[in-house]
Amino acid sequence: MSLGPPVVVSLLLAVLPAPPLAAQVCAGFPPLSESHFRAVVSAVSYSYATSLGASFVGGRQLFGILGAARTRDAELDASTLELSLDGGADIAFGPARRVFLCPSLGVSVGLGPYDLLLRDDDYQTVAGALGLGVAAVVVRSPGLAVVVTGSLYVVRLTATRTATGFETIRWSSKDNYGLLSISAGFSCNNLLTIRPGVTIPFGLLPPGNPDDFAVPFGREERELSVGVSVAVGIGRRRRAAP
Amino acid sequence: MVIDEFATSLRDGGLLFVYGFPSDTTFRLETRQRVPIEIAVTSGDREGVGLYRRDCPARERGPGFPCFQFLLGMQDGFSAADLADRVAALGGRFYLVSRYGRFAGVMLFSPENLVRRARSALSWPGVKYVEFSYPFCLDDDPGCVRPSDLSLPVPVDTGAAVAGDGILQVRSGDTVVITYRQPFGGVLETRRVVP
Repeated sequence: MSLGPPVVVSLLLAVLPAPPLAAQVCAGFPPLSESHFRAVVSAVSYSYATSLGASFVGGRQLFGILGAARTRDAELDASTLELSLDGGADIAFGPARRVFLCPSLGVSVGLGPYDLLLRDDDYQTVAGALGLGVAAVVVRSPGLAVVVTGSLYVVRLTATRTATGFETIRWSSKDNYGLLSISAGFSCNNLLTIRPGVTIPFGLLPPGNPDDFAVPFGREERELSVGVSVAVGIGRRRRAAP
Repeated sequence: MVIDEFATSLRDGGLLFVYGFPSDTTFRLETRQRVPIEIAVTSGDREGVGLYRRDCPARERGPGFPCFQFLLGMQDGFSAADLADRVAALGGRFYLVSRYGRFAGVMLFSPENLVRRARSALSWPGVKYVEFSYPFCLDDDPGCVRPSDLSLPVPVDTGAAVAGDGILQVRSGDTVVITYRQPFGGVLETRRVVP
């Protein structure tokens, strides 16, 4: 399935980092109103692979995320390293500021797998994503906040396969797909957050298609993957004097 | 069920390679599943084992490889036959060694981490390359590997029967009987006489 014309012009994609890019509140994290930065580590289990990632967040209502994740398929003895740069915004609605809309976009590069199945066969991907998330703060007490979120992203991915045998041959393949994410973030004092969540990709190229390598490594069509992220706020902001 | 004529060698240090072909070709065995079969030998040995996929990985996307075997190519001056102990330590046996040892086929008796284990063979002395390959076939050839196919290699030795040790002990003149009991009744059986 293809999602039609590329929504993200010239943002070629790769593999999304383990926690799919999203604005902070819509990713289940508290706003960066209490701390200058946030460090996030995450683990995701797919049907045939696992992913471990780390990211660093800076900004406020507008913010950027620098991330890296390694996705490994033990059966293939293969892995990719995904490097990502994302940006987004938290836009609060309502007098109680309990509902947020979060537009975001990002680019990422996937390095590997290399020497897949012991062949001179290397893969690289470049990806771009554009999405919108929505979040609701369902619990807000002095020490605890619970945020329920959902987001939908359109991803355009370009994959390059390079075979270096007697001569170097390159193939390139592109596809668009969607990524649906649902998560819940549990934050203590706006500093420590634990966020379980699920993601479902859809619209991936079907297996057996000659171009079927233009998919995020380790993912399967409509596969429900479960992950958990832990985030820590770094550098508490000083509150303005009354 | 059939016995692979090419890979099977019912002698000391040999192996028995069994294929199973589900009638439902949409069937896909998950990585944690096995299809139980029983192998009995007239001289007394009896092994309960489980068929696994023939075609890996479990995902259908991307390049495939045989779930139990890989090929070794050797540098000049080296023979694959000298690596039998390393193959055994890896949990397998040769099912083929070319006349001058320049080329060999390795069968591992479990599918777990096959690619990683095959990769480790690249560090063995004299190994030039390691690769996975299927026999050439056209897509509509019934002999082609299908994702539903099942397989299992079982090591074979000669000697007194030791039931349940995972190794088939045979003697010349024995009959090896492989049995699969279907879930809703019925028995499939194939047999072979040990030369």
